[in-house]
Amino acid sequence: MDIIFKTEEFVFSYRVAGICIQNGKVMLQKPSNDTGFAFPGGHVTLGETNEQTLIREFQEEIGIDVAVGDLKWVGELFFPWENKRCQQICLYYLVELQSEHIPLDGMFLGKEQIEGRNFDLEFHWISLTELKNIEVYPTNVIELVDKLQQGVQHFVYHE
Amino acid sequence: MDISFKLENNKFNYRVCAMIIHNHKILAMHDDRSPYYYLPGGRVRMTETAEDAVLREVQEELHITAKIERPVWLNQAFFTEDVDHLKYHELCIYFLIDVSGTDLLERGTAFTVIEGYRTHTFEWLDFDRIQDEYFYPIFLKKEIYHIPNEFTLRTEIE
Repeated sequence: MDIIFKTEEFVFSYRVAGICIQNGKVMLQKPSNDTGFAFPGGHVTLGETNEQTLIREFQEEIGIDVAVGDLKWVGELFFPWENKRCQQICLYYLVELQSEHIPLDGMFLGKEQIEGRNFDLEFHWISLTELKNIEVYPTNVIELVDKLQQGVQHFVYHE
Repeated sequence: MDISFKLENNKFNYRVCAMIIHNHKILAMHDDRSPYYYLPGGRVRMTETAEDAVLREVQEELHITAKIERPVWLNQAFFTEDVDHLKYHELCIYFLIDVSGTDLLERGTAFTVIEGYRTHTFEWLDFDRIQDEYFYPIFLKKEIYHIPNEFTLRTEIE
């Protein structure tokens, strides 16, 4: 059971995401039929730790094994979703690839499932220097990436 | 609307806790519904940030307007609660709270505050005293002597 709860007006969602950086490029996902990029991950499952969820999501959506590193960013995100107000807690962890069979450059495809619906996802390796030229969430990503060597960054994002 | 959801015998909670510390003592509370000491705080409401939630809870429970010093722990905890026996999956952010500028320190070592229809009893517990007390969170009994300088993730699986 994914930790995503809805009332008439609100949605609460608890997600984890992976910051996977290899050779100066970060892995980002984008739905095939939309424009914004985001960090790969998924909703935490009730009873599962964040780390377990992240490992499972990378396996299910991308077909790769990852090792989960440190927690880096804690985001409280407020944005509209469908016609409700969504409040999301998203925890971003550093992850390291453990598989060798995916391309380390360019783009490849995967699938995401939210509430039983399938979404086609594209996974792109984006150069860190290119981040400023694309639509990416969270929108303060450049500032956050600059502080990766520092402690856990806590931010609030209101769309 | 509190961010707290029950599904069969599982419960998810998103909470905040206030750590109010002075002279090697932490402010703890208990009431007639809980046999253990716990920290001020409560569940975050929809559309509220964690910081707003902890300041609101401190205002409601202690009737003071405090300030946040910084977040200390993000705790993901899995446990079976003593009173309702449900399996909890809880996310809790612990904040260090600054009460300078309030009258909290003048109220004495133990005092009561009425919040609505409930009476809370507050007590300043020395760090050494909480070791043997029926006190939650359990991890704090040891970790209170090593409060991290940075926002730190903890995982607790009972």
